[in-house]
Amino acid sequence: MDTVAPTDLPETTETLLNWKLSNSDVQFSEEDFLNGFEAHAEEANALFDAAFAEGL
Amino acid sequence: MPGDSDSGESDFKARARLREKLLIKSFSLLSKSWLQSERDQCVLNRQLVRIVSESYFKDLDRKKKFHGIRYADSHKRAGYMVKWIMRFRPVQMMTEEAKARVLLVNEHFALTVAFKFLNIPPASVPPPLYKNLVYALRFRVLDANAWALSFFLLQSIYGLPPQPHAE
Repeated sequence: MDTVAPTDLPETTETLLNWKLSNSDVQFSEEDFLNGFEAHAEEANALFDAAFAEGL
Repeated sequence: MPGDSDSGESDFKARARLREKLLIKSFSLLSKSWLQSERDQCVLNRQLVRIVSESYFKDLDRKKKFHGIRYADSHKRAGYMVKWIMRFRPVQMMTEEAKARVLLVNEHFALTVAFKFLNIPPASVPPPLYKNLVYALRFRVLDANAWALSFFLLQSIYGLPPQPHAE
């Protein structure tokens, strides 16, 4: 039976194995996250109230 | 090497503790403007928050390692955080006569955190869409990657452009 040595595999195989759509270069910052969170939370609560104004 | 493993464990614990504090602070700010009667009906369980935080990092680190990702994108952070908040439901009810916000408090908390990861102003989200998101978190199968994709789409529509970072 014919076999194909791994070294004969096309480059696309390696590309597929290492495939990733995105790789953020921005590290998460707790400070940035909490900056303005209070106003964000108030908007979120208002959104909840609007969404459930007529009940569940 | 044992040293590397210890260092990795130490780094993991440090990141998890920071995220734990962030979740506690976030919930405190989220509930700040609620009626006192609503605040009295639920409590954030610190033991569960720790499990949420550590599970999030263990889960996301596994994905990052597989794909060789240095930092996760915001939609992945949001998807994985929502998954673990919903799995452990760290906000616990203290009553059997809860108001709607308290009955759905974990879903509301998870989405509020997710929107901040995504830089989506909640005011820009249509209420019927929000109701659908809450419904899906409450009743549908949870998959972090499926939620990450949904958040990618939501961010494309409602997210603010990223701010340039100072060097």
